[in-house]
Order: sequence, then C-alpha cells, then structure tokens
Amino acid sequence: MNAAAADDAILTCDSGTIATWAARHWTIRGDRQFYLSGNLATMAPGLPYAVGIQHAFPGRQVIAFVGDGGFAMLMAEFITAIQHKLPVKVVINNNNALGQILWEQMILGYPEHGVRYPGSNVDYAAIATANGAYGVKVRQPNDLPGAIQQALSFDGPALVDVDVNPDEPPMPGKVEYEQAKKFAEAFLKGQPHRSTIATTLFRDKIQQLRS
Amino acid sequence: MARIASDALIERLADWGVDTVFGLPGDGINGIMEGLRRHQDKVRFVLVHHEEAAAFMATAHAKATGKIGVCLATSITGMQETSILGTGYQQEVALDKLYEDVTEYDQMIYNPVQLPAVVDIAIRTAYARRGVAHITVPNDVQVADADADPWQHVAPAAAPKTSAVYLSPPGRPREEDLQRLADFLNEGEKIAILAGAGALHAREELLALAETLAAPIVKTLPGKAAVPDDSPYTTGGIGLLGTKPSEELMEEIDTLFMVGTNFPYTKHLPAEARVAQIEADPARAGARVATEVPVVGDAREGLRGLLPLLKRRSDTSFLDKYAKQMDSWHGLYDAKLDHMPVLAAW
Repeated sequence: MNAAAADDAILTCDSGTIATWAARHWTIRGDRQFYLSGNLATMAPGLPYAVGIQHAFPGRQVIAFVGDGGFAMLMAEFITAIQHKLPVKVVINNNNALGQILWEQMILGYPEHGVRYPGSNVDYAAIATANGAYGVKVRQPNDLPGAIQQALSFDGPALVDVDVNPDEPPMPGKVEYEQAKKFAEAFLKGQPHRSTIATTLFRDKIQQLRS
Repeated sequence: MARIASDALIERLADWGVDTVFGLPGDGINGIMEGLRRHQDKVRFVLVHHEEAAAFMATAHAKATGKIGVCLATSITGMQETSILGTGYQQEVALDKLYEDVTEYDQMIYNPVQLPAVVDIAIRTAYARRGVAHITVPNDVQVADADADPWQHVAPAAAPKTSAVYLSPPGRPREEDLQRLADFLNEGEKIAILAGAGALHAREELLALAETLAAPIVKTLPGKAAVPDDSPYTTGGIGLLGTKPSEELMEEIDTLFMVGTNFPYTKHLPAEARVAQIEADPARAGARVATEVPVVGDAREGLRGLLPLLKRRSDTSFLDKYAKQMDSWHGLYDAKLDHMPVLAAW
C-alpha cells in the first residue's frame, strides 16, 4: 500500500497495533499527510477522518488504514462514503482481535483475556460489493498487491479487507528487559496461542539468519 | 418567514466560512435543521450514520484544513426546552455539564440575543486553544424569534455584539527568548530535535535547523508528516512504535530541543539531557519535563527567528552516525532484530 499510494496521499489511522504499522510502514514523501487521534488515542476515528478529509479535499487520494476493531465500531460510515460519493479507500488489517490490548495484557505480565473475537474473521468486503463499492477479501499474501492497485484506481469508495496474522507482535524499537520479563511471565501463567506467537517471533529470526 | 434563532446560528457559522456541517438530525435539533434548510446554499449538511463519526469528521476537517470543523447532533447540541429543564423530562441531560471536561468552551443558549455573539466566542476559543467548543441550544430557543429578548435587562450591559474575527497570536517569540534559546543550543554537543504536530507547517525550517545544528529530528506520531521519512535528517518515530535509532539517540544526547510537541510518553525522553522548547500554548511550556529554556511562539516563526542566531556546525559525525543507523533500520524495515531478547528471557 505504501509503495502504491500517491505522493500526495493522505493516510488516516486508528489507535491500536494499526498505529504501529502505520508509523513504521507509511513513508512520508512528497506532500503525503498522516492523521490519527493524538493525546486521547480514541478508537475508530480512521474511517470518519477519511470521510471528513475526502469531503474537504475531493481530488486527493485518502486512505483509511484501520484494524477490524476500529472499523467495525463505526463501519456504517463506509455507507456514508458510498452515499455521498466520496472515493475513500479503506484497508483493513483484519486480525479478528483488539490486538494492542492483547499485547498490553501480556506486557502487564498476565495472559490475554477477552480480546479476540470468537469465530472466523468477518468478511467486510461483502458490505462494499453489495452496495456498489469496490470490495475484496484478501486471504493470501500474493493477492494483496493486485487488490490494493484495484482499490486505489477504482473510481469510487473501495475496501480491501486483509486477513493478517493475529499473533504478530508490534515490537518496540528497542525492547527493555522489564518488557521481556513481563512477556515471559504471561507465557508462564498460561498465555493462549503460545506456540503460534513463538513461531511468529522465531520466523522473523529465521528469515534474518537466512538472509 | 420570521427569522428564528437558528437562522442567526447558521448565518453566523457561514460568516466564519463554515460550509459543511456533519451530523444526524433528531427532535432535539429540528429547529437547527430548519436553519440549515434555509441556508443550504451556504452550508451543506452531510448526513452520517452515527454522531460519534460526525464528531470525528469535523475533527479531521479541522486537522487537515486548519479551519473550524462543525458537527451537529440531537441532545448533544440540542437541549430540551427551557420550561422543563430540571424536571427529569424525557431525554433531559445537562449537556453543558456533560461536556465540561472535553471542551475549551461550553455554553448553553438561554436567550436568543446570546446569538450570534456566543458563536463568535466559541469559534475564537476553539481556534485559540486548538480544541473543542460546544454550544447547546434548547429546542424552544432554536425556533424562537431571532430578535426575541424576552426578559427585563438588569445588568448594566447591552445585548452582546461581537465580530466574526479571529486573529492568531503573533507567532514570533520575543527576541530575548530567541537569543537565550540560540545560546543554549550553541552550547549543546549532542542535540536531538523532537518535532510534533505543532511543527507540521515548518518542514523547511526543521530541515534547516537539523542541518545547522547537525542534529537528527525525531518525530512524534501526530508530527510524522513534519519532515519526509526518507530524509537523512530524521530517525523517524519515538516511543513504543518508534525506531531503535530514535531510542538510542535519546539515550545519547545531552540536549533536547522540542518543537511543537506535547509528547506524553516521558519515559522515552532522556533522563539527564538539558531541554529547550518552542511551544505555541503558554500553558504547555515546560509542561512535560523540566525545561531550561521554554520559548512561547509558533514553530515556524520561532525557527525562522532562531536560525540566523545559530552557529553552523561543520562536524556532522553525530548526525551521520544516526543517518547510517537509519539506513540499516530501513533495510531491516522493522524492529524484528529485537525479537531475540524476548525469546531469551522466555
């Protein structure tokens, strides 16, 4: 998405793990802008921010880069974008969880609780396609670049719902001993999904060693 | 058609250049909706699906345009009629009390002649304090005669008449403050600049500052667009979602210069370094950490005044070191190197 977006694109974002991904992977170049909730760090502003900004700047590419938690909270506003013919692009990092809280619970030293939505990931793209917008559900990494290109070039509102690894931790720039210790404590106290989380952590290390 | 108080409200918003109101109607604001209907050539009403979203849309409009954003909701800006207030009537909530902690200005209209002056004061306050102003209008007042002045005046004051004018404060800091700031920065050896949302309009000046001081720029998340991420003068973000070079920079510096930021995560700021600051809001100068040289002013104007007073540094080794670290951070493209300590502890 970062590579495909315009040099003057405006990215809006939610609070949560999505803010970390945006901070690290949205490259400010040219006249690109970036807006999210500041000191209050509220949930769900990404989509309505995009609607408000697209209204003010009809000619700019405006992308809401949000998680499924924030999107679902105010998802009716995607209908607002369709009804007012505002060509906002929505990219959902769908981990079917309130990811930031999950990791914050572990860093507090306790296993996660009550932060993953039950059942399989919701298909938000169907809401878009059923109402005349562009929508696509992405389940395989290889399908992502094409889906993003299609969404960005679509003449109207577009939604790309991407299933992502729910066990991908947003790591601090530099891990402090205390954080690592609390993380380990949560594991020892029975953190669910221990093996997939560990696999994710190891996968990154293994990739580094290979390269 | 008799002119009603809601005409005065919407006309005044239009005088201020408001052309859009995001909102959701309800029976608490049907008078204001009539005001919007009568002035739809000037002010467009954008119908949304949830009032919370209308507030976010108005917020984003303000953040991205620098101009006032407006939202409207029933029993939020609309209040039950004055005759039944305090009786626990259906949907009666004291909205002015409810909004007290989240607004810079928060006022109920009891008498049509408060309009349009209260609109002027609300908007000026929102601009001056870069925050939310809330006006609540009881629904009988919304449709009252615009010129109704129903009660005897007992104060020695006329009905308020103000102007739809906002002048931002002079942005340039006092000369003696700029000189003190320049002396302070000229003394620093290892300097970092922390730029926030208050410096988004000062890209050129920030880059010139970094070049002159040979000091890297760290960006808060709301200040991310202040300078390009591919600039050799920035180590990117700070805090949990920041970069490793920014963290190490904060550990190494002896001098921190904060420009337009109210960065709250002070654990990520240096424990020992001396601190200077340019801050637009006098109430926030020195508000987060002990600050030796707080300067009040606009980031761009302040840096423009400061730059000619600074000694240009020829030794760029400190800056170069962090530019190099950022190259390898970009190469790695995220923080995954640091996964190992976690696993070791586990």
